[in-house]
Amino acid sequence: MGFTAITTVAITLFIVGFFAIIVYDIQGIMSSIKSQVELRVYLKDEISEELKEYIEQEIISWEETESVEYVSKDLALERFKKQNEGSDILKEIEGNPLPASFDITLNNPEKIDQVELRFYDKDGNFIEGVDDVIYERKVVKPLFSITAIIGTIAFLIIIALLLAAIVLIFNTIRLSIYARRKEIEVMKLVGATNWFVRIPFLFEGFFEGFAGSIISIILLYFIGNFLLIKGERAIVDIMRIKELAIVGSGNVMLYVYVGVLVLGGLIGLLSSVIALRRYVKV
Amino acid sequence: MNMIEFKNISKIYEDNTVALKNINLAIRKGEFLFLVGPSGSGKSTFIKLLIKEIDESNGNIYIAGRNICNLKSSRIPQLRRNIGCVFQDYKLLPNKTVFENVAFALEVIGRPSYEIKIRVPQVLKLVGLYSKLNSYPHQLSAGEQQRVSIARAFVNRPPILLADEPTGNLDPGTSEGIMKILSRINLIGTTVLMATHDRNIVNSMRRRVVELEEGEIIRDQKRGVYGD
Repeated sequence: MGFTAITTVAITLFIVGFFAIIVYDIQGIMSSIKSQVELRVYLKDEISEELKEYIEQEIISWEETESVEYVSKDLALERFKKQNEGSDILKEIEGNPLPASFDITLNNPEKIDQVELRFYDKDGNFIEGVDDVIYERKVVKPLFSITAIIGTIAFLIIIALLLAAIVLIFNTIRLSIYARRKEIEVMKLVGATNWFVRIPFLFEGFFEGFAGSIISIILLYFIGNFLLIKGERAIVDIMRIKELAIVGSGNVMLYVYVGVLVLGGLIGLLSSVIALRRYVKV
Repeated sequence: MNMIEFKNISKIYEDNTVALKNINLAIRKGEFLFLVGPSGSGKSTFIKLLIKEIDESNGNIYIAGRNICNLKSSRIPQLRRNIGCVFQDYKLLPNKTVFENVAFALEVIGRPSYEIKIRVPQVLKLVGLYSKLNSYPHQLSAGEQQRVSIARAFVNRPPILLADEPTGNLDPGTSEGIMKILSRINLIGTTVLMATHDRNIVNSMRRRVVELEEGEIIRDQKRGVYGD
């Protein structure tokens, strides 16, 4: 029975640790993609200098703004020409049809909807001086929801597994209390203190949780170093992302190990406490 | 000096059974007292109240002058170290020898091992089981098991010894042996309270008898007999 409890804790905490690494990596990838998302605000040609300046100051003052760049009509044309060098399209351009714009980089791209709304008045029209607002909606939206979904699923699985581990350790302790009920009865009769009765069971629960977490750390170490690390190296090569759990510069794995150890001990203790409260009235 | 004193003690269980009704009783230090009465008359409740296994509904209990009714639960073990308990079913641990069973009572209250080595053989001599200290409970007769149980209750030298039907499972000859041991313990100055419905024992001992009926004391007699 103790063996089952230890195994369950080991599997549970292994999955917890595994998800922690995956979620950390996905977030690293996300944040590097997100930081490239821009909101572009096209200005009307006839916008006054004061209004333009006013809007720029406004944008700078928002806490979501990472940086803002003013792209004038001339600069826009220059960039357009550069992008389409040698193309026929340039010959058809007369004068400068391109609008000036503010290119805004957000520090928290999930707020992109909120920021966009500020360029509308309450009737749903653009505010004065603004012609249009665009951003890469099609790419950005699914990315956000994928992170959210993975996070939620991982969270639910982890909770379910933690509960299973608690129930199993609780059961082990319950059985061992049952096996020693006569002894406990005599202990209480001759005046053993409550802690004297409790401590062996608390220790047993703690040991089961702790042993389980040690096994899961060993599993995580090997899976991490021989399996996940290959994926991470590929991501680093392709996407130039530095903040990953195993190959990154931070001690992420150390935190995962410590977290697993603490969680294991706590699960064990908690289960024993519940079992003692229910089955030993001391 | 009163060792045990009940003042207006009542006990009503959760299912509204009235186990004890307004009990007033004083037991002096060194006294030997029989608590008699039919099953369900409140004898066991009386004993459980003394070791705080259950709480009274009303009234106060004083042990050596101290009110135990508002005792914090963390102080209950201290109380129980001063009260030895013997039961009809012995409550011995089957996987421990006689010596270990008695030593267990000292171990769990944190007595040092040299003290255990002295005290356990001493008390086993007192109950006449010194020769069997390495036997297991199942190798002993019923009377011998009860003597181990008495040794365990007394090894800590508590000032009070409670015995709940200690001869309930024993034949008359064996019971007599148990009573001799309890008398000896009483002679050393221990207050002994024994709940029983063993008529012959009560009649032969001629000690104080308190009779309970439906939770009330209906008789309190010095050098009494079992009654009709």
